[in-house]
Amino acid sequence: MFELIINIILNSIFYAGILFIISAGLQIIYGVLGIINFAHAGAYMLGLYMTFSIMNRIITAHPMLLWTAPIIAAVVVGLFGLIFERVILRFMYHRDPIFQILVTFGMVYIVDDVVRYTWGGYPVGAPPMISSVLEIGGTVYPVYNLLIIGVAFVVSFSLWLLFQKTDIGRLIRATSHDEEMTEALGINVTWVKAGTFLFGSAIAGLAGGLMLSVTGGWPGVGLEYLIMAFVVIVVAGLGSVNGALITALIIGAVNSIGIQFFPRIELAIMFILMAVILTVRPSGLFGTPHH
Amino acid sequence: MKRFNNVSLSIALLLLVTGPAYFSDFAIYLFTYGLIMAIAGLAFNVMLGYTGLMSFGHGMFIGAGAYTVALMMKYTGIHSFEVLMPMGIVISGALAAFVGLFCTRQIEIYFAMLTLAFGEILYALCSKFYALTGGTDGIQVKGMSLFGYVLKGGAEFYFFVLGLFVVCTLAMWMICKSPFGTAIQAARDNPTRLGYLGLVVMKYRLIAFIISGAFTGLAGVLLVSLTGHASPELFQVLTSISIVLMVILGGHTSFLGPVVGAIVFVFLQSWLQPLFFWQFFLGVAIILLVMFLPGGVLGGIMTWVRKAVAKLS
Amino acid sequence: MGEKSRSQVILETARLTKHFGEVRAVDGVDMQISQGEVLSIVGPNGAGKTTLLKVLSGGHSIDTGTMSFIGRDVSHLGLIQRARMGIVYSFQIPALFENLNALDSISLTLFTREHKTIVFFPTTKRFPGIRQEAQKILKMFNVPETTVTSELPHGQRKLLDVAIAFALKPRLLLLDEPTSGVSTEEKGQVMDTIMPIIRQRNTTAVIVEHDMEIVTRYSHRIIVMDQGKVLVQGSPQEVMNNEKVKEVLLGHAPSVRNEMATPSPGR
Repeated sequence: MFELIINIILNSIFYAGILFIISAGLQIIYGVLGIINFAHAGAYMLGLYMTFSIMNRIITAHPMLLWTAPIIAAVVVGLFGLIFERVILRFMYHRDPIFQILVTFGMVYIVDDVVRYTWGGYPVGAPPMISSVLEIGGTVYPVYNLLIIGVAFVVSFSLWLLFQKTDIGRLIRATSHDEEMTEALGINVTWVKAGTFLFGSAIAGLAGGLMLSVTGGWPGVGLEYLIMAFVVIVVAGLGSVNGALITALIIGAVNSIGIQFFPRIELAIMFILMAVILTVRPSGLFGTPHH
Repeated sequence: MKRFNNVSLSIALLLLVTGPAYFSDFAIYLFTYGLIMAIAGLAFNVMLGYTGLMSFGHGMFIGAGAYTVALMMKYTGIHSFEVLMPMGIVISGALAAFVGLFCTRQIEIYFAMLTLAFGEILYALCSKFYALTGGTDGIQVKGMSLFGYVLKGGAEFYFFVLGLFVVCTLAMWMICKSPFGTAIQAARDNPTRLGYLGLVVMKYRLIAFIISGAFTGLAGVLLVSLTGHASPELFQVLTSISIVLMVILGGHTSFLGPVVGAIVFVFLQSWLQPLFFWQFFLGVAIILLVMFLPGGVLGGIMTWVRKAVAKLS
Repeated sequence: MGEKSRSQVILETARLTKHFGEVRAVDGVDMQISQGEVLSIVGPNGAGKTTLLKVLSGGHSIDTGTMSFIGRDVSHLGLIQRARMGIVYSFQIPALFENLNALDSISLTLFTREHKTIVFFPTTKRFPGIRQEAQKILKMFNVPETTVTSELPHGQRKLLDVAIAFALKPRLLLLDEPTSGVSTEEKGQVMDTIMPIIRQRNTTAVIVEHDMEIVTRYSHRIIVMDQGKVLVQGSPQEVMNNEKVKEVLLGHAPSVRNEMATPSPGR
């Protein structure tokens, strides 16, 4: 019984960690660009598959450098994100939000088929960099998963540092808050937007790269995780990174408990939970009321 | 301008009615498919064009209609359209009422995401309850009859669908031109003002959503009758996005745009899907349409004709 | 200006207050309006005029104080319910149905009034009276029927906004700066169109305005507000001769046609 609880708790935090990494990027992008970025699913997928390729390249020659693979992939994905933002997305800034979302959605399908073309339509996976397990309270838990929890923690702490303590963070917050004002103060808002999109896509790619060794990848994997991330950001309230952290934990817990006790309908439970929360608080738990 | 509309409409109708005389079997199949999706497209556009809400989950109504037929045939043996069609409409409408209660109270982007979420829930439920629904294998369906007459495939079913298409188009045209239709357009243009007139905006959106869902459910009934197979993918986001693409391809700013879009889409899909990169084209089409041709094909044609007429006079 | 009819009070507020954070936009306002009366609210920018109007319409909630309408306490009713009771608000920045034309906009309003919006078949044949009445109203307000709202010039947009409110046959019409954004020459036209219609139908109206000449010409009574409070209320003569009022409305003597540089955006 006790082992079960420990397992559920660890799984909750683990799932919450990954969801948070993905959601945080979405929230930041929404905060600065005002767009709900479906293409995030593509970033996740690209990060995952690229990590796969990079690992394959360096595993024989430099097995000790495997950990660099997700990071390199994340950077490359970030750059692709930047290209998308500069070449396509920025022409949509003045358009109806629904059509902005549609454009990012189109990107998901493009990336999906690009992945299919480049890597074939097969699922991919990789053994975790650290394959040992840790014994906790009578149950065993993969160290790699704990590592991911650690990464999520680092990401959330870094984001907090970034936003509260650095100048760049202040720029990002200012642009989220009032773009016109920030621009009037002489800040190059275009760069802030482009940089934010790069950063958001990069951490989505990082999440994908890390998850390669846990759940692996397959065509369409991006959308699955993205939809869960949407549940998080919608329940948290669009734009709220702190809210996303707390909500991710809630969703992680509900998901793990659901999988354990109501295996076939855990998804339905989560969505019903979301629907109910939104009915009671339409702008999300931590969101600002719609104008 | 009006004359152009009437003439082109008449020609199109004539083409559709006489089609089977010179279409190949495959073309008849595609046109049947296209007309079925045209019903779904018109229904979708009641929400998008007229009410101003884009649903990313309309596939769930196709699925609802399809599975109503499949499950009824499987468990009750009923295979007559005169029962299956009303059942499909009622069940889809009921689903729309339930989902709509949560979704229509939200602003547009939340509406889109919540409808997406509900579609995914239904997909998950449908796939996982294998015993009931056949899971990802789906359910085979065949041998439907209309008032006792078994419709043989091809031209007979085509005319059946054509007739239904005309009825549905007229029905939705009436609804869009009615006071209710004006009310939902007003709700799209200025929901605040509607409140100051004493109307509850959500009520109108919900009713529109139910109407939209019901007609889309009918399309689902017809679709599964055409393809012979109901599978959970119908509930999925790809189906929903395909409907979105169809409608913006044809043009969501005119009443008949979705019809043009549906037929063009079905033909495009049959041509391109066997090629490996259908999703790529889908994505590119969406982006190009939204960025450069927001009024769709029909919108583009209308603008061009208007300009030509203005130049000539 | 004709004899004010000695009719009953239909709206009464007592100690009406609305604050936004620390600021008391409306501070303990007591007012009454009688049936058929035209009451104008004037005051410097930020005096709380638009806020007061919005509170009356239900667009802003009441913080403290009460409001009663035709004998009923409506303090806790929302804007939808107040609209249904006949308190109809017309916007300073026109809130219109951009993709509909004026005829459809007014027809919809009439269907709403007649509780016939949940009707799913086209009604031009069934309810011809509605179309006729819509056309009549648009003629009175001088707004073209078939031009799409988004293509109407500003003056006609203002008129359409008032026409929509008016079409509901309101028991109390709230006009928020009906001439704002309209050029000085056109202001007279706009008011000369609206006011006779209001007078003819004996509609009770509360008008927020800046232009003192318009206000004195058309109102039965005037309320002067300053910093959320009612400074003075009375007939145009009483108000215009009041010293405090002259101070507050510096440079707004009725003999000189004058107005503030920019209309108050209101809170």
